[in-house]
Amino acid sequence: MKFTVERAALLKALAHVQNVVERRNTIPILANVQIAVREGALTLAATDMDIAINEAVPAQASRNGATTAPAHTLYDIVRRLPEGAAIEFDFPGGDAQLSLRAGRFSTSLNCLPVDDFPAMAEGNLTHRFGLPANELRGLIDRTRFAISTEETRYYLNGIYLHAAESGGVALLRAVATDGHRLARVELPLPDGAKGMPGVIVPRKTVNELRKLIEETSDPVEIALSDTKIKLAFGGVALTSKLIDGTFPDYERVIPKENDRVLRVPNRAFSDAVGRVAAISSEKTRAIKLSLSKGHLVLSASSPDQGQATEEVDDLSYDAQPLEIGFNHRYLLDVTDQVQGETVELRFADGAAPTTVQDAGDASALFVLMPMRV
Amino acid sequence: MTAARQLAFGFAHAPSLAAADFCRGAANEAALAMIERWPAWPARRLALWGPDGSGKTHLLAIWCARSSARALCPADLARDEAPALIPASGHVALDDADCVLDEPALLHLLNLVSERGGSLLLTAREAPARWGTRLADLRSRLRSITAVALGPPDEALLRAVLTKLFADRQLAVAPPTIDYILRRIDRSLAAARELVARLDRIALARGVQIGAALVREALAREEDGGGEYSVTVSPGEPKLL
Amino acid sequence: MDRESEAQWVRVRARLREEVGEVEYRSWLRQMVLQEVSGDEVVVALPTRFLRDWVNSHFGDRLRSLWQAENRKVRRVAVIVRAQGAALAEPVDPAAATVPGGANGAAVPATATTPRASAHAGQRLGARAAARAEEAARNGGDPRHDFSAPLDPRLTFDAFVVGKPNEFAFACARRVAEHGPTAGFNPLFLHGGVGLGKTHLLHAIAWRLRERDPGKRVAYMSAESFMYRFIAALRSENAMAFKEQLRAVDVLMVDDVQFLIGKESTQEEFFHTFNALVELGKQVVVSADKSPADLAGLEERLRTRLGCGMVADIHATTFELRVSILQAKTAALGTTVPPKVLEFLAHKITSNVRELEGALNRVVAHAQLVGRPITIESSQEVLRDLLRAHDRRVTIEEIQKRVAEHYNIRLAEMTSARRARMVARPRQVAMFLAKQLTQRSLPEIGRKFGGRDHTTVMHAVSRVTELMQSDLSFAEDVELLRRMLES
Repeated sequence: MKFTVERAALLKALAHVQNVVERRNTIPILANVQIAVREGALTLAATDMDIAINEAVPAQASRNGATTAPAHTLYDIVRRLPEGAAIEFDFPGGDAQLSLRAGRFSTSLNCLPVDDFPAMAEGNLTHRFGLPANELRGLIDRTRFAISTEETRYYLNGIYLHAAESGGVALLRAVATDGHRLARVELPLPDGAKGMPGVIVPRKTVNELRKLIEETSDPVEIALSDTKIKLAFGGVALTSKLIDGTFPDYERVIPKENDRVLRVPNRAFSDAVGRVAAISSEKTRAIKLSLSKGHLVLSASSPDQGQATEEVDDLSYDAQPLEIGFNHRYLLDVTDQVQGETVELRFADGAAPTTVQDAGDASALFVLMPMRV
Repeated sequence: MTAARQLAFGFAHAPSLAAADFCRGAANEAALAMIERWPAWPARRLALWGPDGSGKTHLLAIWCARSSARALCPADLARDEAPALIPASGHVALDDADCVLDEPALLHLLNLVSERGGSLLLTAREAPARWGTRLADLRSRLRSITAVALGPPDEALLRAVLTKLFADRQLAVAPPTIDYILRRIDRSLAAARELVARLDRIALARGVQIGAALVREALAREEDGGGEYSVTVSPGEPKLL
Repeated sequence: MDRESEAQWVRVRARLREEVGEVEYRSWLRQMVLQEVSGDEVVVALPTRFLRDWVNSHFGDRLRSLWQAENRKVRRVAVIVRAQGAALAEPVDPAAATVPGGANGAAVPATATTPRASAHAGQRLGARAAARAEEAARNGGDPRHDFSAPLDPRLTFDAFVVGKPNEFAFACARRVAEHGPTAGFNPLFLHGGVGLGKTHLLHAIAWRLRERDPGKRVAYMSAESFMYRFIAALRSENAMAFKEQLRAVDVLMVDDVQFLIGKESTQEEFFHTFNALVELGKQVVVSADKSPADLAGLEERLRTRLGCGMVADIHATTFELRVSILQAKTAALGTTVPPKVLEFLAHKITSNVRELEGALNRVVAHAQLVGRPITIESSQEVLRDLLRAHDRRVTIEEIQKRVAEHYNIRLAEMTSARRARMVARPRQVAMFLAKQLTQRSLPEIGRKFGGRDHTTVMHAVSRVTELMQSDLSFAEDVELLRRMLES
């Protein structure tokens, strides 16, 4: 195998694939990136056996072949090479080392045989559909903050992607929850997704995918079965296992009849929450909302630091008085996702789930469980 | 405000009643053997009795799946007369049969199922002979039913049941934690069920993993007769097992 | 899946089966299905979450090393949940799964083909009983009998055990069966306490009548079912058809007429049917738990009519009759039960024949299930709910007291800190028994033994278990204590 590649193109691809490689590995070859030239085309690949990434890189290849080399080391080297450098790789085959040259710099890396590199079988992917990258970004951004990070409850460690129906409209829904808050975002169901199995996409896959599609405007091709998902765009393909679990029936925790409605300018509200919360105890992070007709007072206190209150203006609230506490972090996570001017909160009482929505956008719904204060 | 506590969603879970998930042990070996022996039940009637959590409802579901029996609860008997309760298969299973208040209704059900050639399964906390039945005809029928007790679990069964209870709730709990629990709880299936439900609730409300530390705390709270945690239940919450 | 992987999988399963033993294998591993082998990873599916979790935590490492021995490329074995097709699932017990097809139709009584006949080990039906069973199976299709409830093929005169308390009723029933209305017993009214054999005699009469004259329409039903049908006929405005059907039978037998008490309109209908049939010279047989005169709550004129034929009562059983019944019943079950056990049952279960038969059934079924001989002790255990109103709950305090008495040490030593063997060993025995006989947690047991730790209890349990294996007389001692505490 022999090829020459431009530093920037290689660095970008290496940055992608080395993210998938775990820092600590009991299986040595999982620390390596697979470098392969087949029919003159260069691809890099890495896997942790749950996720596999494959990326095509433009290069001038003069000989086919393949090997694997330590991913993090290779990334470190390439990162330190001067901008615009042309890097030449040469791997004669067999037990030889991989040699790398760029200008006056040269190195030889120990390799592991490419035959030992784990291949992830995609299996039979039964459903295929496309999503514009910006819509996929919106789906991920507005749900992933609610993914549970607690591993005991493995079925909550991802985004639940499934086909749903509401008022006769077929929808693609993404839902995430950690048991305290829940985010539900929906899009019209793309062609090809009809009848798809509901799948739970693991948190790590979601995060890797989000990094990969940060800058692209290409549509993302999604293919899935009930055990695997594959996402592909512009030469990159990410294949991942899905979580072997059942997402809870989340609809039953979404209140439909909360009739105490607060509408408040999102920016002013979240700024006030941030200010008052500065005093809230680190342990509980509680902030209290005291509502009465036309009034909202935020307050927090901490035994160490004292207390803070702020009254918020320009709001509408026309129901019975109410006091309710929330983890301020959860409130801010949600208001961060609201793009419009006004945020709308609907309450039942101080101990029941509260819904939060962008007053001008029904595609995303957030549900928060309060704190008893 | 230091006592502020995060509340959690009341997600539901459905305990598996699949035949493959029934944990076998000396405590339920006779009961399971009788279920597997159907239709060879003396007089086509069987009663299973034992404390909460001992697997009566699970065995009942296994039998209903095999026999196409209809599963009834005491409320069904209060609502409908016997002829309307018997399905095409002729077979009937009655859970919590000791909670039936209307003795003639139960007698009629027993008689009609026999008359139609069906089989009948009763489950209860106590043996039918001990229900204190007043109606003599019913009493003698109940006392003549083959009644099989579900006994207290041994350690192996308790370990399997704990694992199943966690699996039902999709909680990944490491075997050492299960051993830790085994050495410390009352050795009854009801205690196991109660503790697992409690651990699930506390862990969800706190957002922490289920390990030895949480178990210790949950057991200590049990002795105090309650807990500081709480969970809100959304409207229309069905009965959780 | 390639054939090599399949072959490897067969070997992995076989070796695992050998390692863990048949019981473990059947409980947990039998339902494993090889899902895929993708070079480095083997995916094994199980049908439920519980099986997945159990196999993962208890057999995951073994599965991986066994696979690696077969295929060195395998780095990981993933166990997942995958519902299996119904066709793949093995029945719980293949032997018991052969349910005769006819048993599902309500009209075809399972009595005929299923329960005793096919499955009770050793049960043999005589040729006549088999013929009756066949007839019972045909019942559904035979318009002559579709008004009748199905008859139980076991309930014949041959199977009725006669003794002093029931010989008169038996003789009357036989006479009606042989001679019909010409016997002059119209109606025949059989009465006696519950479970003494009234229903048996009614079925026996019906079988004999049908046997003698297959053209006869013999309708047997319980009073409740008479009522249900009458109400159903009224609701569907079919009352006329119901009446006509009733009046068209040659013999009407109604069981347990005491259930008509309080049901005025049903009583009224029954009264008219009764009169019409008797006037037409058709035989009527009725049973109740009391004599006509004692059926307070039944209309006076009905009571009078019921008592104007032959009234025969069945008395409570005697010890001799109970033993005879048990002997006959044992023979019918095709099994043997030690005479001492039969006498024990006849002595303990005195209430009625139904309960006596039920008790015998239980004792026999249990012995077959566990494959152990029938003894008085095993019968006592199996029938403990019949023999005792409550199960005894042994307490830790009782155990400590009994054990201290047995080893002749002071009760205070159970909680003392002394570690001399003469007090430590009995204390360990008591802890062992507390774990065996109560459901208290190990920390709780430790607390009751002078605030000891649960690890001390665990140590005591394993020490006593060890000793019981090596020292036979010690084992007998502990066993004796256990039995004393349990009885």
